[in-house]
Formats: sequence, C-alpha cells, structure tokens
Amino acid sequence: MNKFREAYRKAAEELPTYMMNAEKVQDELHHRKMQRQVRKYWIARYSMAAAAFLLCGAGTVAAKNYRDSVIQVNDTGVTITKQQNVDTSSHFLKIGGVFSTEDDIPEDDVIVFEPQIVEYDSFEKFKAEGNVAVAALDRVFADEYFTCESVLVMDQGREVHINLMNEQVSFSLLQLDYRDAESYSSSISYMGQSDNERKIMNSQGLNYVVFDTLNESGHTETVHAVISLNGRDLAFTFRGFEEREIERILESLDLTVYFQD
Amino acid sequence: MYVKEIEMTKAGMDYRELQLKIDEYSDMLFKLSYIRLQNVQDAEDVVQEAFYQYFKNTKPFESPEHEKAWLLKVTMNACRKIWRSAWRRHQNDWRQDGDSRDDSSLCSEKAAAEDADSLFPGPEDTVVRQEERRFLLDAVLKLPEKYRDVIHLFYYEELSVKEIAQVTGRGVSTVTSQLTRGRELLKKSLKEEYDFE
Repeated sequence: MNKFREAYRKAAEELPTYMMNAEKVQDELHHRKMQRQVRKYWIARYSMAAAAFLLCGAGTVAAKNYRDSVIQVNDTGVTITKQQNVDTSSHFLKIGGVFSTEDDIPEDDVIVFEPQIVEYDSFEKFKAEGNVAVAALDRVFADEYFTCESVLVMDQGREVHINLMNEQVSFSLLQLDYRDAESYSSSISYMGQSDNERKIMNSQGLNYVVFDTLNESGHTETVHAVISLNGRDLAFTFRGFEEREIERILESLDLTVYFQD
Repeated sequence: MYVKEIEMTKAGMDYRELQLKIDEYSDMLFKLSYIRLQNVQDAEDVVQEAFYQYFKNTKPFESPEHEKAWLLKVTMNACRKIWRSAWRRHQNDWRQDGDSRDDSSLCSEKAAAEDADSLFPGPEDTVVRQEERRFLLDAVLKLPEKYRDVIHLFYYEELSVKEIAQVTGRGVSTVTSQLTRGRELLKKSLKEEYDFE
C-alpha cells in the first residue's frame, strides 16, 4: 500500500507554480483591488442578494419610541415600515448599481446612488473612530475569536455593515439609520424560505422579531433577528450558532446606545 | 556591486531581500491558496496580498518557523477575503483536458492505465504515474474546503495539528476531527489504496 504522504507530495508538485517579482509587492494598486473585492462582496451580499429598496419621504426627525415601526416577516425576508403616511410615489434608490433588479422601473424614477464607503478591518478600529453609535458587540462576543472582521460604513453612517466570522460561525449586523426620515419602508430579502417566526425579549424589555431562513433541504441555514428602535433598524444574522447562544447574545446586547443621541 | 540596486524600502527591507523571501515562500503560499480557492488568478492575488502584508509588517519574527506560520496565516485570511459569491469566476482548472470528469470516469481511466502499464511497461509508465497523481489530486480538491486545507497543511507542509490550529485559527480538537474526517473521505474516494499514517 502506498503512503499517502509521499504520493500527495508528488502529486502536489503538479500544481501550477507562481513566480513573482518583488516590485509587484509594492504595487499599492493591487492592494486596493483586493480591498475593492471585499467591499463588492459585502455590498452584493446586503444590497442585492439581500436587496434593500428605500422609499424615503422628506421631513425632519420624528418618533423616538421603538414601537413606531412595524416589522413583518414575509416568505423571503422582512419588511420594516414606519407607521405614518408612506409616500409610494417617492423615488426608488438603486444601491451600488450592481445586479440591479429595478430594470422595469422608468429611468426618470431611478436615482443611481454610489454610496461613500469607509471600511475597517476590525470592529475595534471602527469603535476607536467613534463616529457611529453601534451596540457593543465586542462585549457579547468576548469569548469568541473571529479570524475575519469587516465593518463598512456607508453614506456617513446611515448604513453600517458589520461582519464577524471564523471557521465555525459567522455573525453580521446591518444597521440602517432613518432618523432623518419622516416615514419609510425598507425590505430586506434573504436567500431561502423564512420560517419559525418568534420573539426574543432582551434584558431591557425590548423585543426582537426572530425568524429562520431555510435551505433547499428544509434545514435552518441562518437565523435572523430584527429590531427597530429610535429611528434605527437593526438586522442581525447568525450562522452556525446554537439557538441558546443566539438567545444569550440578543438578551445581553446593550441597546441603550441607540437612545443616547 | 551597484549601489543603486540596493534601494531601501519603507520597511527597511531592500528588494533583493524581499525577492529572496518571495523565492523561498511564494510557491508554498500559492499551493495553499490554490488548494483553497481552486482558481489560479485568485491564488496569485492572495500571494501578492500576503507578501504585501509581509512587506508592511514591522514586527520582527522570532524564528524562521514563526515567519512561515505568519505567512501561512496571512494567506489563509486573504483566501477568505477572496470570496466572489455571484461573481466567482469559472474555476481555472489546471487540468488541460477539461474538468468534467467525475469519479467513475477517473476510476475507469485509472484501471485502464494500470492495465496498459502491466502489458506495456516503459514510456507508458510515466503516463500511468501522471494519471495516478491527477486522480489523487482530484480527490483532495474535491474535498470540502475545511478538510482540504488541513490535509494539505498536514501532508504537504508537514505542520503539526497544533501548528495547523494556529495558522487556521481553529481549535486543536477541530483540526483533529477535520483531519480524521478528511482522511475518511479520501479513503473512500481513493478506494483504500493509500496508507494515511
């Protein structure tokens, strides 16, 4: 019987090789290309694969109470609506311009918006900037080691994408700031069928709407938790976590930061 | 010696030193990236990114082993960032004759090659060996991602379980179970033809 180690080492020699010049290393452009790829991935994931269509009315800051918004789980995701007169004739906002599904909307009604994006490769660096209020995720994940962290701040903090992952689990938070909008309706779609809608109350008496997204086999692929408070909509996504761990995280996450400004 | 060739870089490393490091490690990093991503261009991007990080790193390494582990870890992290989701390009298969062969066709080709070998030793021996290597490599490349890299790091880079855990950011017990599971899958696809000890 042949030794796998020897056989694999010989076989791996057949893989392509790569010769690189040291000057390429100092190519900043290449590094920026890598950064853009990461950015595109996350924009695609949340702006198109989880598409968000905004209907924004003009107006000033309104409701402070988190109960103002209605969260409705549908077959493919969730809709959050502020309970006032939603102006359905408002413009559709096309985010990012990639994989657009709004092709049947008249061009005059579409505003193409390329958001300004600031990115951080760790939650710690993002927090150190202190520009955008976000719940203290580092405290609830104190015992978890993430090998990949990414924070994208778009449109001067009106949209924040936080992604934390390691080989076993991944966590993401999409935070949308509508404090400048008198009324709005946003819809977030996820891949797969929504199921098992339930509520989890945190230690501060605030309720999350929680639901699962199922894969083709009918098994839970991801768990989502959505809450709307003081003009901010938060959509959490958990993959690979146990249900009790998700409950612990949601129950212990301090949301008072959203009522301090 | 031409003084102008020795141009000090921002990190205090000249081009020749950097090129020596690239020559020493680039193949190692490229193979790991390719095993993980199965795309030549993506793997090249990862290697460039890894050496970019190396170039920018100002902290000294404790030993050559530390340096190697650091580079492997950076490479693994860069591989994760390369996900293209819907943009993922068609895999740039290194095999020249297409990628549509499945296990059954590979098995019958292998059997045919072995038969040919017994009847016509000599030049065909190279072909047979090449087919065997391709068959084995295919089996590894078909493993789920999380088993592929531990198999490669253990059998090709000869890292210990603990070293693999440090490089990949996984727990030791996780690496052990992934190695075990990877071997089980390979034993099945390689028809128990290899000794994994």
